[in-house]
Amino acid sequence: MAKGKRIQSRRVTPRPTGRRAAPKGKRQQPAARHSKLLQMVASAIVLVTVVAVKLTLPEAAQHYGGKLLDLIGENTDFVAAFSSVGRAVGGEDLADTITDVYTAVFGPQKVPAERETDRNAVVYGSSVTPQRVDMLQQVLGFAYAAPVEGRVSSAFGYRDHPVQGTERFHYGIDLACEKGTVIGAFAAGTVTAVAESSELGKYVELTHASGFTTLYAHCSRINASTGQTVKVGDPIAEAGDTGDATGPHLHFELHHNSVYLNPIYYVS
Amino acid sequence: MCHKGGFSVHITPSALVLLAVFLLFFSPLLLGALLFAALCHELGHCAALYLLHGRVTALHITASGAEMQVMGRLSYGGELLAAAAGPTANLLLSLPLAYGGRQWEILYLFAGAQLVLGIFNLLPILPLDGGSILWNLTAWLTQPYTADRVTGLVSLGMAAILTLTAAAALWVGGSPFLLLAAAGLLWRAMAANRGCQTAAKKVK
Repeated sequence: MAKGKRIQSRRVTPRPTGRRAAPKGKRQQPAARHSKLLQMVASAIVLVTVVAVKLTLPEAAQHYGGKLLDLIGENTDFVAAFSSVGRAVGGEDLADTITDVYTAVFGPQKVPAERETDRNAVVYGSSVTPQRVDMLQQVLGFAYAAPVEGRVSSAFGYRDHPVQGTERFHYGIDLACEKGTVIGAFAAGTVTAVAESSELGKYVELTHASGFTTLYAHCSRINASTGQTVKVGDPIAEAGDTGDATGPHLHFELHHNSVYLNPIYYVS
Repeated sequence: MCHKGGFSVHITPSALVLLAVFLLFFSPLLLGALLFAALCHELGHCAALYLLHGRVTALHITASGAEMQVMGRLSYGGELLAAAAGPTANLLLSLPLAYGGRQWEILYLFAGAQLVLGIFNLLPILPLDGGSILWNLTAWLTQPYTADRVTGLVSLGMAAILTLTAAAALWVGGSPFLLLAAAGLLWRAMAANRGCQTAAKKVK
């Protein structure tokens, strides 16, 4: 054995199995070399094209990349998963880490039943004027922007519930927009929840400065992950009609220390 | 493909396509963290080989990872150390990176990538470092023939478990890429075992 042995090492990456490189030193047939060169050129073209598209049309690349991932059923948030693992090494609680990794790998989970019923009780209670509601405009004290441009299809306050048919208090406003419309963060803050419920569909919750939180529901796709920090206007999700919805729209809520505010003052 | 002195680098087309797929689907940050971890991993191997006076003659970069070609032969113990050095480098580096994560959040991602890469490579499945360690350890204690059989069977078993786990994960909502990687390992382990059996028949 003249050639010597190989030390093999691998990257952990999701990948297809590749063909091995032809052993060095063996002379290749001209035809084989030619086809190998062709393969190389074709692969290089694919790579250059992707890089070019990424650089010139970053938004389109992200949008269609996301669509393709949806198509093959990919919803693992590798960045969040790896970060959680890193946090575990840094000394975070193991139980928290396991929960975080699970959420990152298997996508937003259904909210536990307990929390959902609690939410129902709060969001759609009796017709008595809800206690945890403030109809007055408040000074937020930070920069903000409307999450989407859209017609207000359902305002804050009492209304006949479009799906349930009874009169209920509507704790947010509905902004009609097309499916796939990019939803921007209302203000700078941290992503505190990415989840899915039968009523709200896929939703994101952001926590902002001085006790304000915002909620974006019925999304078709969530592009943010828990713990991520966002700036005002950063894309966090795409509008859709998941959950209890009769058409694509954004259900937008603004809370201040668990009091529901009327978001209408801040979105137009 | 470039040649420099006695050292050459080979990149296969499949590696370029894989890189394109990664660029398209995942954030450049994730790709950066993984490539940095892979670089540290290879440097770990290189450092060990340098200390053991092995001379690296070629580096093959394929879709299934990087492979180093070494001039001459190392002892079983030496090869074991060289194989272990890659994952060890990853595991050791994840500690300071995770510590830095308290200051800069982003370093948690880099620490996580190091740790995941290091642990994955320690799985006792043959093309991975863990399989290499197992082979050299068995060959050292017994003989290469036994090492071939033992490592082949362990690789097959582990790859099968990994594939089933990945399939179950996909069922619950995990990533199809994990199943693809696991199935690739299983395929190679099965092919290796088949080769091993035909070789045994020839000996008879």
